[in-house]
Amino acid sequence: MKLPIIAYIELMSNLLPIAAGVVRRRALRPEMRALFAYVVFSFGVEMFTLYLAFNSVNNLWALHLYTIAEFIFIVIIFSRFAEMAAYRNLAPLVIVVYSVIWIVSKALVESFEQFDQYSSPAANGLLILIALRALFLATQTVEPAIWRTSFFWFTTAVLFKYAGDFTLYLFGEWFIRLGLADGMAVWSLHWTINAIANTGFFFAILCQPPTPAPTGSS
Amino acid sequence: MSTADTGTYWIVLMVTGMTLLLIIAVIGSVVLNQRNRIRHHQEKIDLILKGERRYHDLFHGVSDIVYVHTLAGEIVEVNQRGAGLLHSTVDQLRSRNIGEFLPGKYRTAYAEYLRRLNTSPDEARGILPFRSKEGGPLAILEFTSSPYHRASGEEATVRGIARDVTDHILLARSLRRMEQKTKGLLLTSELAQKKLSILSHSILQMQEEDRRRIGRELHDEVSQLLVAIGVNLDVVRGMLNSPNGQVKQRLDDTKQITENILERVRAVLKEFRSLDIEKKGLIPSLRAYIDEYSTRTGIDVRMAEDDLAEILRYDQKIVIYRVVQECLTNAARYSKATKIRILMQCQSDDLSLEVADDGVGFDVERQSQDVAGNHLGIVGMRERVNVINGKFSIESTIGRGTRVRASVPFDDGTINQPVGINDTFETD
Repeated sequence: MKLPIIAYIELMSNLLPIAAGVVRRRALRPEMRALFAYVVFSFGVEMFTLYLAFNSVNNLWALHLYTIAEFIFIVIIFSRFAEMAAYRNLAPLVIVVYSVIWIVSKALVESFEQFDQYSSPAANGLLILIALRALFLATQTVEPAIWRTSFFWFTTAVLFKYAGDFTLYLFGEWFIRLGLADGMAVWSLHWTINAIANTGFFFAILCQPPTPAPTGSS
Repeated sequence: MSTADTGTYWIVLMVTGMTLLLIIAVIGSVVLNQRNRIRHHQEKIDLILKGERRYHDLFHGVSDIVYVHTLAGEIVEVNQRGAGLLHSTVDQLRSRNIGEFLPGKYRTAYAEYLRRLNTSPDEARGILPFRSKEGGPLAILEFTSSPYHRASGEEATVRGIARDVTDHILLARSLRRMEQKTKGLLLTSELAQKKLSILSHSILQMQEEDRRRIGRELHDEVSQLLVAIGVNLDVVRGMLNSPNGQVKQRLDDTKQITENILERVRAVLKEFRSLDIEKKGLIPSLRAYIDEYSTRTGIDVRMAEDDLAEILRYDQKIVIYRVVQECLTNAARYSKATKIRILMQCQSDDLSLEVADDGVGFDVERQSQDVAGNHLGIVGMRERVNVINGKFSIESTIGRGTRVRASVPFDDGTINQPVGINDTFETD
C-alpha cells in the first residue's frame, strides 16, 4: 500500500515534540511531562496501526482504544495546567462520563469492526469545549502574553486537531466505503491537521520557561 | 463515486475546512483580545508608574519633611528630606520609633503628643528638637500631624508635615539676646547721660559759686581797701595846707585812679554777681542786664523773646544768659557796634537764640586759631552750649557785623517734669 507523502510528514512530525521533550527532559513541568508521554504514546500507536495496515490486518479496534486513551491523556494534561482545584477535581468526572459514553457506544452502536464514528466525535466535541473554556479563562489575564505560553500552543493544537477530526470521524464510516484514492485524499487532510497539531505540541514543549496556565481548565 | 457521493464528499471537506477556519478565527480573536488587554493594561501601568513618579518627586522633592507613623510613633514612611535631616536612609528609618531621635528631656512632650493623637481626631501642632545620634547636632522641627483612620479596620496612622526651623529659632534667640543687650546699652547710655547732665550742672554750679566767692572777695577785701585808701587820701589832703601844689596834684590823681579802680571793680562785681534766674526768671534777668548794659555802654540793644524759654532747665537758662552776656560784652569791647538785636524763638523741640550786631566784625577762622586772644570767650560759649547738648555757631564778616546762634534742645524733663538735678542746685 502506497501512502501520500503527507502521511510520512505527519509521521515524522511526531518526532518534533518527542525530540523537544527529550532535549528539555530536565526542565519539563508536570503538565509537559504528561504531554510528552502523550506524544510518545500517540507515536507508538500510530506506528502500530500502520504496521497492522501494512500487513493488511484490521486496525480499527486499536483506533477505538486509542480514542479513549487519547481523551484521558488530554484531559489529564488540561487538569495539570489548571491552577484552580475545582477544575483539577473535575477531570476524573469528565473521564468517567466519557468512559460511560464510550462503553455505551461500543455496546449499543459501534463495533470494533467499524469506524468509531460516534465515540470519537463525542470525544472531539468534549475536548473542543474544554479547550475553548480553558482558552477563554486564560485570556482573562494579561501577564504573561498568552502566545508565549505552553498552554496556548497546547490548547491551539488540541482545538485544531479535534475540530478538524470532528467531521472526518463523524463521516469516517462513509469515507471508508469510498475508493482508495478518495479515501487517501480525505485522510491527507487528517494527516495535515495532525502534522500541524504536532507542531503545536512541539512549540508547547519548547516554550521557555514552561509556564502553567494562569487560570485553568477541566 | 456517484454524483451524490461526490457532493457529500465536498460538503464534508468544506465543513471540515470551515470548522478549521472557525477555530483559527477563534484562536486569532482570543490572541488579539488578549493583546488588546495587555496594551490597555500596559497603558494603565504606565499611568500608574507616571503617577507614582510624580508622587515620588513630590514626596521626596519637597523642602519640608513629610512622614507617616503609627499611633505608637513607629515610622511607616518618610521622605528623603526627613531621612537626610536624621542622617539616615529612608529604609533605615522605617520601623524605628520617632522617640529614639528626641533628646531625653523631651520624651514627656513626645508622650503627650502621642496621647493627643490617640485620643483626639484633631491635628497636633508643635515644635520638637531632633537629634540623629547622641551628641549630634540638633534640628528643631515645627510639625503638624493628623491621625488618619482607614476604613475596614486597618491600623490607623498619623500623617504629617514638618519644617526645619532651627535657623529661624536660633536667629530669633540671637535677636532676643541682641535686643536685651541693646536695652542694657540704652539704659547705660541713659544713666551716663543723666550723670553727664548732673556733672554739667555741677560744673555750672561750681562756676557760679566761684563767681560769688570772687565777688565776695573783691567786695569784702579789695573794694573795702580801696575805699580806705580814698578816705586816707582825703585825710592826707586836708593836712597838706602847704602850697606845695605838686603833692596835692599827685594826691588828686591818686584819688582819681582809686575811684576809677573802684568803679571798675564794681562793674566787675556786677558782672560776676550771683544770678537770680530761678527766682526772677530768664527773660526778666536778661531784660535787667540789657537795660543796665545799654545805659552803661550807650549801645542800642533790642530783644524779641519767647516766654516759653522759661520752661528750660536751670542749667540751660544759665547757658543762655551767659551766651547773651558774653556776646554783649564782646560787642562793647571790640566791635564798635551801635545796635544789637537779640532774637529768642521756641521751636517744637528746641529754643534758638540769635545775637547780631552791626559792628566791625572779625575773621572767625583766624580768631579761632588765636589761642591767646579774645576768642576764649567764643570757645567758652561753645563749650557751655555743648555741655547741655546744644548747638552753637558764629558768623562774622569784617565790616558787616557778627551773628551768634545757639540752640538748646528741650527734653522730657524740660517740659513734663521737674528735673531732680535742678533741686540739687537749689540748696545754695
